[in-house]
Amino acid sequence: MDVINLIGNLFSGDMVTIILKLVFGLGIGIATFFIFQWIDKKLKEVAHEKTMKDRAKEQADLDQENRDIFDDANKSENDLEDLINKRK
Amino acid sequence: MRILTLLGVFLTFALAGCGKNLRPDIVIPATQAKYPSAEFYACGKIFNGLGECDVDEGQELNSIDLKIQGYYKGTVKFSSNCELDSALPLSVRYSKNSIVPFHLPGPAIKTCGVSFVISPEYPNEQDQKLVIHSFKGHLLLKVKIPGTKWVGLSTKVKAGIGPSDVFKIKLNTNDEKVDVSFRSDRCEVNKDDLELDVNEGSVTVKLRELLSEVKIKTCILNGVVFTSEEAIRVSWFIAGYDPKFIPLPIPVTEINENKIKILADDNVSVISLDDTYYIDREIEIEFDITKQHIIRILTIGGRLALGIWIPEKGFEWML
Repeated sequence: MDVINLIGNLFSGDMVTIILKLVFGLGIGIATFFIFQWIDKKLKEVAHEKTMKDRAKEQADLDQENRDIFDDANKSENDLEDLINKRK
Repeated sequence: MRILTLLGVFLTFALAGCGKNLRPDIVIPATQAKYPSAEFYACGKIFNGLGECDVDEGQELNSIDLKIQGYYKGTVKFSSNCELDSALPLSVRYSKNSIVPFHLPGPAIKTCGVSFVISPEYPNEQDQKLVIHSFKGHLLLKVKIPGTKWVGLSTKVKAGIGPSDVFKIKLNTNDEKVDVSFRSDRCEVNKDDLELDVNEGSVTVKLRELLSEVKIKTCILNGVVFTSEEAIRVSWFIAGYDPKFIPLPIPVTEINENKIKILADDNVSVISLDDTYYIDREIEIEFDITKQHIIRILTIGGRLALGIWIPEKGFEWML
């Protein structure tokens, strides 16, 4: 019922008023559409930027991680070789 | 004419909406959780995240034949502390789900390792509000003196108190007890002369006996098992991961006649069977049960489940 009233109100008045109402309504509709489009685009850009940033970080950590893991393994291996030689 | 144009515009939008999208992964990214999940091949084996190979001193390092699996297109970055004959490209671009080989020129001199990060770029990822993460992997290259015995194992362990993981080492001895020593500065392990029982020709080392608490880090626990006959070198590659992380559950699979239906977790974005990749969490595809196959389940958070189909044996899953 409210919708019918709303449509009725929209088409009430003289022709100029009706056209103005339609133009105004259409303008708000188009503006809302573009605002949502803009927000959507921005969110995608933010996500992509974060992806690029995280990727760079994941790759940058690699050299340090490799040295930390495998240099330590070398040290413990040498310690154990000394232990084996002592027990011989 | 106008009606046709409108119909064309409508169809274009309708078809554009039919494309499958990537799905968000609600779990913390694998790289952030220190959960290695890169798929790679070396010394004739397949690994998920962590792996270990042995080479004799002086043997060509390249004989291990290291290859890393890429998904869609993207970058693989390498890092290695191995002493090599020449410098290597440390970042390689790949495309079309290809396998990226990593050459290791030169002879094996000392134990070392190769680490890598696979950063895939999924189709239309820029058109979605999602953050994509990489897959990380580490390979231990144990250089051993020819004639000595070495055993390696890789385990991913949830960080915390009282890990229940075990390492069963087969021995060639009649001893009833053996002495075991383990070391790692990085994981604060310094255990000497643990006396362990030999049961049915094997000794079982409990991680709990070496580490009271697993921390969020990756390390190698090197050890020696002293039998009366020999000293067996042991490497236990441990990835302690963040307890907030959850490894990907095994998907539901259903094989009917010559087709397989795969239904993966809600967070899954990609399912692949051998060389065919789908951006979906549910697929139904032709499947020859008499041949070996590989199923990959991927999330944008860098979680991976690998299912190897072995005829007459079924699936073996690596998480």
